[in-house]
Amino acid sequence: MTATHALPRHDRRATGPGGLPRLLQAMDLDAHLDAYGPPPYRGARQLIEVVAAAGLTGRGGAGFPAARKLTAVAEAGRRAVVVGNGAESEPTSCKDKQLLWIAPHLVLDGLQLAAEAVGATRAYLYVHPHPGLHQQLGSALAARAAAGLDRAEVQLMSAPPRFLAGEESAVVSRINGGPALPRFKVPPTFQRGVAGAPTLVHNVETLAHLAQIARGGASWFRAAGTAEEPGSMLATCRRADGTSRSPRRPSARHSASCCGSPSCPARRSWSAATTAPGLPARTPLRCRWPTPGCARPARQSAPGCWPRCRPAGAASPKRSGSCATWPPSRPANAAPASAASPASPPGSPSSPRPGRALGSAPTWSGGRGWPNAAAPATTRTAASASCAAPLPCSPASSPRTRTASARPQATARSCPSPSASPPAKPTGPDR
Amino acid sequence: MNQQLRVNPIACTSHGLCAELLPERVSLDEWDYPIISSEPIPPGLRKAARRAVTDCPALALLLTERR
Repeated sequence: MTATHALPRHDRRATGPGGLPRLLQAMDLDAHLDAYGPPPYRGARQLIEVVAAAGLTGRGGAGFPAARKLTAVAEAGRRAVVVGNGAESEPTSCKDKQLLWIAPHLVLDGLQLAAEAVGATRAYLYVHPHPGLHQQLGSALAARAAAGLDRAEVQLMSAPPRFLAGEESAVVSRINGGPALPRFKVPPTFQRGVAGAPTLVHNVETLAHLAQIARGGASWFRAAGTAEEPGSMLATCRRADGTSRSPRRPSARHSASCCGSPSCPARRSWSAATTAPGLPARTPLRCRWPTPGCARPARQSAPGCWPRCRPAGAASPKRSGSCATWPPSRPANAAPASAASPASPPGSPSSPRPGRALGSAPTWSGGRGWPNAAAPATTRTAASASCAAPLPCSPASSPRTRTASARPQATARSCPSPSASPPAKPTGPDR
Repeated sequence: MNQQLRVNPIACTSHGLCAELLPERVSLDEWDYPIISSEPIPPGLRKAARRAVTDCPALALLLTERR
């Protein structure tokens, strides 16, 4: 279980305790090779023991032990096929897509190493169509082929954009040319899958973990997580109805942000990761949620009840979200850039904000993991309710200004609606 | 030779005939879909199990050799 490559540089680059996040480090091929080196091929089945010792489970949702799956395919006795399954299909989940955007070479390394472990010479990467993603993965594969890293031939497959298309037997059916629908799994996929061959279908996050375990070893992998469920896990965080969802084990696991929701408080980690060199800039970093401990001062250039970040030492989130700088001096059509940028397709040439590259301190100070344990979800909800509609607020209501300065607790509800009828729903950019 | 009954959940259309023919191993849930016991089929039940397999209107039952 000696590590052929420790993960020194990778770990230094990560800024949190335990070296989290492990997977979401944006890297092109050069940076990837610089940090990890080439895939540590070590012969058929050698990796399986390490994976078994690491206790890696499938990250597609079922949590099946990865080593048992690898063993079953390796012992099937025929030439196997490996499929990296990035079609998560769940409408509110996009962690696989995000991983493929940020660290495709980690996934592709895992695909190669899994193929070597089970003796496969063919591999597939099965992903939902997403603007730019196929091109990105295709260029990643071409770069790897030019560098001579891959031993198994990898083919990109497109999944239909619907639910259940990422189920294991549906994946196999699709690759075989049929509809992407689940079937009755007799015989099971690990005995008879793609073209009748034993087929290993792993989630792309599982493969990325596998690629790291092959370098760092089992004990490194077990340094995060619990004894029962070792390692880290990606999760999608969304705010659909004003509440934020917590991961199951906030203390033990790192949770990555989601690229889908503009109002996701952990969105910053995504933004920071994608402004790293070698990847298209997607979302300019905005610190929009009052985060305890955030060192950035509130923006003075865009007043209004639109707190970017709570100033250090601000008393309560409601105060920070109040309309203390009312009335807004901004014109009504000047929507915040953060509102438009999340909708921009990946790869669109939105320029990364300078000074917000990977590893800059304010970026990760509040955005990584779930540092807001001291600030429960109601904190963010209160802030969002008060500041969700900065622009429609009428500057003509002078009593509101007094209210803002005198009773900041009441302001949180009163500012968005000029007619002072019901508390304004969070329309506008926070939705 | 251990045999086990399995149901194809995609083909099954909840006729409930299997529970009539093999109540020792098949029970029905609240929507009349079969819940099949994981116990092996003893020799005395094999005839009834084969009958359930062949008589299923959706051909959704399967007798497999237990691993």
